[in-house]
Amino acid sequence: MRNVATGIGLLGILLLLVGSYVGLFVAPPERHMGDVQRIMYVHVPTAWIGLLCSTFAMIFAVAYLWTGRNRWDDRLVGALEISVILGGLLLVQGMLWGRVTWGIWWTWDVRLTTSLIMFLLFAGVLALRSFVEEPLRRATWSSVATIIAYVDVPLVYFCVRWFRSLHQVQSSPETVHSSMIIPLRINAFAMLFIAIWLIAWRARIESKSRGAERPPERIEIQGAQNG
Amino acid sequence: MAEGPAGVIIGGWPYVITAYSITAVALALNIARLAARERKADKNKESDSNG
Amino acid sequence: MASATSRLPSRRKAVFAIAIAAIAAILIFLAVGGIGENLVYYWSPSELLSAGDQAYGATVRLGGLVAPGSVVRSADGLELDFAVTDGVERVPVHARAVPPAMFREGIGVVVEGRLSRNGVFETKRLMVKHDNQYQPPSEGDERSLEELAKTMQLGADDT
Repeated sequence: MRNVATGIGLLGILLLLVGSYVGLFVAPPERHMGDVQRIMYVHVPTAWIGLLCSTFAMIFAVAYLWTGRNRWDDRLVGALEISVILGGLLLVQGMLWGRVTWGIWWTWDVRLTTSLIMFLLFAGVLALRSFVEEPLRRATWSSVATIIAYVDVPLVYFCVRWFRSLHQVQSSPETVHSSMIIPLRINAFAMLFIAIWLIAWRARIESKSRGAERPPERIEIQGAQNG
Repeated sequence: MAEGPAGVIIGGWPYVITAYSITAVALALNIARLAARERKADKNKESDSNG
Repeated sequence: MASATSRLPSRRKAVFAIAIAAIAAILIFLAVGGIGENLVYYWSPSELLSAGDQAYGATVRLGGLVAPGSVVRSADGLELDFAVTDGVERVPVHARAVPPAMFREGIGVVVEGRLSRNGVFETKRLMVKHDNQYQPPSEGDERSLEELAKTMQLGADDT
């Protein structure tokens, strides 16, 4: 399993290099945005995979509350961390792109506001984790907090269709030229593979350190029942 | 930003390079952090089984 | 619980304080900053003109297309006159701002400012709103003003 995950990660890094090369040097500039549009090839994959990872986090949180198995809490940490990293990067990339095209670093439109809230909420769940010492309580609380934080995620995606915003609605293969779709897709798969790798790796580390700090969960449950 | 044909952005490469660089650095730092954390976890486990 | 808190290392306390501050900041923003107000991010020219007296004086955002043929730049490049249209109504705008490079006739803009009594919208903050079209330079934009105006409407793809 470990080698499979590392293999996926290396493939992801390779694809990210290829996709970024194509996006930066092979794809044409945009007719109005010029070269600045190339930020799209990193910004859009960051958004897609960031939203996907927070969806993973929500699924892992539900699975933990359902089964009570530590392995879901391990995966939850991994998914939360990559969601926060991609969420932060999304804001920075977006500010850079917005400064040149829109003329401003930031404005409180719905897309930007819900994205910032998403980043803060998931960062808050991680902060909550570091605050709670007791493993069982930490896992339960962070699962519940993750599910609450997830309420914002569909808003981030759909708000541009529901409300007026400065941010444009989602593009589609009909609105993006085929030469620009190629690097976009390569980098999306690259980011997906990297995210899967980092989640699996982080979960493995969490599982190891859990073994060091506590006896396995089965024994703990038996002890609780006997007592 | 330089003036070009009306309504077309000329230049802007520093913004592009900054966006890609920050992304690359953040991912690299996270990979380094995980590697360090794994070493620490392995070390703790070793000392655990020895003790 | 109280004893557990007192045993926390100071770094964890700091992290927790940051988290609480972040969540508090969100709540304060929701309450004071008014996300409800921002759900209508901008008014169209038709909405602004039909608002009557309410349209005057208050700081609002006006969104629409730069009307073709309406752009007049000052000699020093620091001021700009143009009209914002939704295909139905037009609002003349006086901007004391350097426009973003993408500013041109027919593109979407959002301007922040107020409508003065003489009917001119005064702004110092001029933002370009582009749609979701990404095409290489050889592909010209053949869409009519009406089609472009649709990109400024709410739920443009659904209506």
